[in-house]
Amino acid sequence: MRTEVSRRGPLGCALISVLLSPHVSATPSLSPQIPFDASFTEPATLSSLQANFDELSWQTFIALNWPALDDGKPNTGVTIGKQDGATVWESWKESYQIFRAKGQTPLPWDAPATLPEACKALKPGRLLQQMGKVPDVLDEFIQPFESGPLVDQNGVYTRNEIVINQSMFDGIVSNGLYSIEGQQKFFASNPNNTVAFSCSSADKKEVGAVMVKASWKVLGPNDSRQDFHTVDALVYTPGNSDPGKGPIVEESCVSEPVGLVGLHMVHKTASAAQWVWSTFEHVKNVPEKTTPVTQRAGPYLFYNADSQSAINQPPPRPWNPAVKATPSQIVREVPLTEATKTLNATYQALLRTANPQSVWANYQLISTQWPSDPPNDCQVSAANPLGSPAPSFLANATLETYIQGTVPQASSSCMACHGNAATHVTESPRTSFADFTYLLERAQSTSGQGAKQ
Amino acid sequence: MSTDLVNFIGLSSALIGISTEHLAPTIDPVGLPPIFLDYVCARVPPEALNALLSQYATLAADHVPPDEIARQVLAVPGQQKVPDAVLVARSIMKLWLLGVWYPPFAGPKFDGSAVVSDQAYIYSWAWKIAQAHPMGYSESFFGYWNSTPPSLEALTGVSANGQQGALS
Amino acid sequence: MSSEQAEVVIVGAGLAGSIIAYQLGMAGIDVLVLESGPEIPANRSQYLERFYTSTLKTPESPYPPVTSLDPRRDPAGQNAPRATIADLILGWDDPKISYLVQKGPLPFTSTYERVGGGTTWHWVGTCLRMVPNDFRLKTFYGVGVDWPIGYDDLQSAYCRAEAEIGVSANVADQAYLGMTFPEGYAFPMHSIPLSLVDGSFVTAVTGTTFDSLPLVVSPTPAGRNSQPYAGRRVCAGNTNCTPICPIQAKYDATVTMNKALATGKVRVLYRTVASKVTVGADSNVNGIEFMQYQLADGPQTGTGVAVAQRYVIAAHAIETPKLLLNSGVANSSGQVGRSLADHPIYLAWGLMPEGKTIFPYRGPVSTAGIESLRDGAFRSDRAAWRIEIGNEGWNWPVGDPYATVADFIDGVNNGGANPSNTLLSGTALVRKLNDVFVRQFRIGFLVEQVEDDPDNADCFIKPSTEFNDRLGIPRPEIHYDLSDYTKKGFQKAKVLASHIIKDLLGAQELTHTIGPGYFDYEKEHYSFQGAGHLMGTYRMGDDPAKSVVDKYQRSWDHKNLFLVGDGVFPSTGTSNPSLTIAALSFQAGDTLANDLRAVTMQVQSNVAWQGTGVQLNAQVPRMVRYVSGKWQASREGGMVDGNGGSRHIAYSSYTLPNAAEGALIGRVGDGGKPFLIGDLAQLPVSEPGELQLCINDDLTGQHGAGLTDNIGALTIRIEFGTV
Repeated sequence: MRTEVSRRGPLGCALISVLLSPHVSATPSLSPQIPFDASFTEPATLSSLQANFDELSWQTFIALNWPALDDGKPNTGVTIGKQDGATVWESWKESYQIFRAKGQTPLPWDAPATLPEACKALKPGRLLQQMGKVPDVLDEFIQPFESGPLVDQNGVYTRNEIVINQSMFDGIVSNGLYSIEGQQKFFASNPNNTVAFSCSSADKKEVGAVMVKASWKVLGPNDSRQDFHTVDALVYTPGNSDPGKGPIVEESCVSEPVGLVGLHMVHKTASAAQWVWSTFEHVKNVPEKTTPVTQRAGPYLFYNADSQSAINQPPPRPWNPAVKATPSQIVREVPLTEATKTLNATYQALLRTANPQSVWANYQLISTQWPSDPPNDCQVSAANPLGSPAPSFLANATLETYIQGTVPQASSSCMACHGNAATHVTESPRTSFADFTYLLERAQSTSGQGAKQ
Repeated sequence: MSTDLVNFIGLSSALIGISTEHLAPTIDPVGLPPIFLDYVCARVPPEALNALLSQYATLAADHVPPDEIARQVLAVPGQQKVPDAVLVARSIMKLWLLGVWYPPFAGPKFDGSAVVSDQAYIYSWAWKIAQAHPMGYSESFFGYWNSTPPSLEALTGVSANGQQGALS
Repeated sequence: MSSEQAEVVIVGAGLAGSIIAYQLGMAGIDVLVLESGPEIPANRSQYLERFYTSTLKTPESPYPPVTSLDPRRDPAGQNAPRATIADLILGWDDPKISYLVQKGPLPFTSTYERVGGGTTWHWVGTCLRMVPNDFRLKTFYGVGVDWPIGYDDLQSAYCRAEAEIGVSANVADQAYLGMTFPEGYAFPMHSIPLSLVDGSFVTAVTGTTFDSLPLVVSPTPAGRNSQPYAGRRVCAGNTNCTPICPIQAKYDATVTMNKALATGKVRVLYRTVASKVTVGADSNVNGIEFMQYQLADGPQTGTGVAVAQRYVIAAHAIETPKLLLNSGVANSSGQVGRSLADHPIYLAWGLMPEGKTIFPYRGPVSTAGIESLRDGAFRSDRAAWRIEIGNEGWNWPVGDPYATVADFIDGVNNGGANPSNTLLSGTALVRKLNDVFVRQFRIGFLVEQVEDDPDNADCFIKPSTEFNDRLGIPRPEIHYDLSDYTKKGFQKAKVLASHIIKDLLGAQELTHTIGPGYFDYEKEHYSFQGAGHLMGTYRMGDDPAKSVVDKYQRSWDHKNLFLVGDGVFPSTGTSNPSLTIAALSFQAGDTLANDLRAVTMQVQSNVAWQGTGVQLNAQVPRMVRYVSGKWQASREGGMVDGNGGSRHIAYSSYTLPNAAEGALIGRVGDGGKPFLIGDLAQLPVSEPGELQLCINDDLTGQHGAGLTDNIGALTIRIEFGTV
């Protein structure tokens, strides 16, 4: 049996090269610095690498949620959690600000967000418009089924948003990828052009592309702000009359306090051309399926021991966020590993050293999906396009609620699903490849005809 | 890793011509080899399996090349009935190549055959040998079928004979 | 016994039922769907897992009730059983195995599903239109039966079907054999790239002919995303369209049923088997009785009756006539259940010469075909066919890669690539398998099936008098045979197959008869496969004595009953039927919506903009049709109908300056831009809102009396449908 570190495939030498270069210590710390890559320990095994990437996830979670200054940079004068407030990632550009009607050029990175008409009269707040996994132009990615909205114990739909960092924003804007015509022009202008967002580099101390998807619960009278990272948001529902684009709903905008219940952070690093996929949840979201029913110690945000509702089933259609719905009854199909639970406890304790009431100690890492056989040049290879994801499946109970499980292609796997993401220019594999983001599908046409949504 | 598992991987690799690094990479998120060994153990007489594993171990210790090990393990002397151990070895080959367990002593019909698991199917090697993918499981991107696939060597570690160009 | 009510009851939640439910729901009509099978699942993991772990990966392998070679299930113990390939293999003529009670002489080899979403779960996705001459077989070729409609009658419905399904094709490739498209029409998505297998056919056949007809390889229009569309992913080439697309890049009817549910006007009762259609003294249908169950092989859990103003039966071409015949309704013509047809398939396969690699098992199951022989003078003599080029190597004919892998391991030759019964192992095995796999191909000829005597069909389904399902409902008894006309088509197919494979591709042909259907014709032995296309069993026509429904798919016998799906096809053509089913379903939806919601009203000549109460939306096309009456905008203009008179006035105060004076004008909402209607016009879909109507005249009176001296009114009808 081979004992030295080896990677499958003729190209998979990325980890070896990283291991041989000097690396930073992997001690947990409260730091506003987004890590450039995982810190790899030797000897490399499946579980040690998982641990290395899990720590990357936690350090990234802390850095992205660090209190931000007005310009979006982390406030290094304070420690995370002493007070709840606007985070670094909340200053990043939201998807609707990038993929605009008629393919208009996005405003510069520093420009304030534009609001839909319906929201303008309301007090300032964060705009949240996405309402669960419904098949409309707001979806980050397309599910095998329209997954359905997630409904909290108050009968209210959770809301999602997607933001990207400046590196990824620049990659989209400078290449004109924010409109259909821009994408066509990009691919036509050079036969070698492909979508390839920047990889973080420890050598150059650069953070590459990072995309974030957050799920929020509207706080009701029985919900306490102290239990969540809380934001006063503008909960916006775009009007729609075409069931091909999503539920039939009236336009509305309401100012409401919302609490964070789920956070995806996806980071493209030199050792992960297929990106590193980290996902966190509020600790009170759901019980694990493997926990016996009588031992499920709630209260939970998306599960009620007294409910007779079927488990993990979306509500019946029609889906209308203006109408109070039956609360969803959700359990986690795949339990957290013991190693993850231990790591979570470590970081939660660390967060409490800054403030015993730190809202951030209410969050837990579910897991991290990383490519175990990545190419060594941060360029996806045709021989192993997904880079052998580890673990094979990963789901956030608030964002992939109804597709949890372990059936290939049908159950949630970050890379397997995002590998299906495409651009609007599908002439060839080169032009179709969207570098694992569904955002490019949101580009509209400058002619106003709209995407073929 | 147990000696049996090491020998099982080595034997399987020799039989089907795919290297142990491919069948059992050091970093293996899927982990089929121990699952396959357990599956086989539960379904074949221990004598037959042990005979195969020791035969493999002996030949490997003698540094016999894998292709030759395979030939010796699978040899059927003259016009004789195919030995049990050879039938078991053939079933092990099909297990890796197709993800399906064909009971070694069941005869020509497929009765009793079973797909070991969804993972066994999607990681079965016949499809990579075809420079393709299992039907129902593609990781490739739109339009890939209009171009030539990665080489046999890139997918399996075995280089093909002759040219690999597609028809124009 | 429960009671359900709705404005429309639809039996069957498949392609036809879902489209009609969606259209009616968008028109504000209450719909109840009765579906014999289980619910559309929240995700496809259970179906996919069943597929991945099935040893017999047939089209039905993912779907309930489970089918496999072992253990065998007696259909008498199942509540909503259906035909399966496993049945055909294990005992097509044994009613203890086969749900279809097959009396022969030949086996009927096509199957279908009874689940929410129907058989589109496992269709390949091919979206070919029928060619114009398909509708006129009798008139042009003296065989078969004419349709009461033609290609042009279906033009706009085909476009709507292509938009709903999401069809990927380029018009330039599809305008052959008389098929036309509207000016400037573009399919929803561009064509799907050809495979390398296709490429080898293009090289081999382009420029050649067969029976004086050119051989042309065409990309196949498909209900499969080549671009992000309607919230679904683009195709990733899983090569698994049949039996299940893992990522729903291929359309299936659950898409449309979910849209129907989104309207808030549609309800579905699953595991609800329609058992009897009852008719009242006025010869209208007055209810559909049903039985319900929970477990596929468990006891009945309820009964009920569904009552509506209109009834639609959309249960596909075997279950629909079974229901009608069990009920004794709709059959004054005697044609219910008659002319059961498939596209029997002649399957041929081969191996490219050494060095000519084509890399199958990649891409969709099929991306191209040879369509250029679907029509021609020969149709007076023998059946036409289309040729489907397969991308899945020898998976269909021999079950590869399983057969060939086993061949070289066991030293046998079940697959055909190991004639010397060689035993291989190690790297030699890898190289040999690779060498064989990368050169495999198969083609299928989908042969048109035409009865020698269409009014006395040899092929029919009737309820069995001997065998029931678990609910006690008589199962379908099938009588099936192929006419000489069809067999002669097979004969030609065999000739061309060998010519293409051996002469044009320079390949080795390995075709042989493989069952389960066999027949002999002119001293040659043939086998045929089912295409999964069941058609023809309640055909439409102009003559109530010879057809079951009229050209609107309304029963001749019961005015409130509609029968939809490809059971209405009087002839089958050679195209996969789904796109035509979808187009006809849109038309049936229009007719039903008009029955219930068409608005007939008067538009006054002396009143400005008048509201109609009709809210327009883009999903359900509507038009305005002049019915009767005359009005006058000016004495000089005289009494005119909706087209107005001969004067065209440019004054800006007119309703629509420069349009004919006295013409009927419309707008959408108070701020809408006026548009000309005339006597018949499609209403614009760009803006939702209320339709308003007005005469074209001086609205402000600044050039004369304005509206005050106008006389008369027009009666018009605001209808569903397209012009």
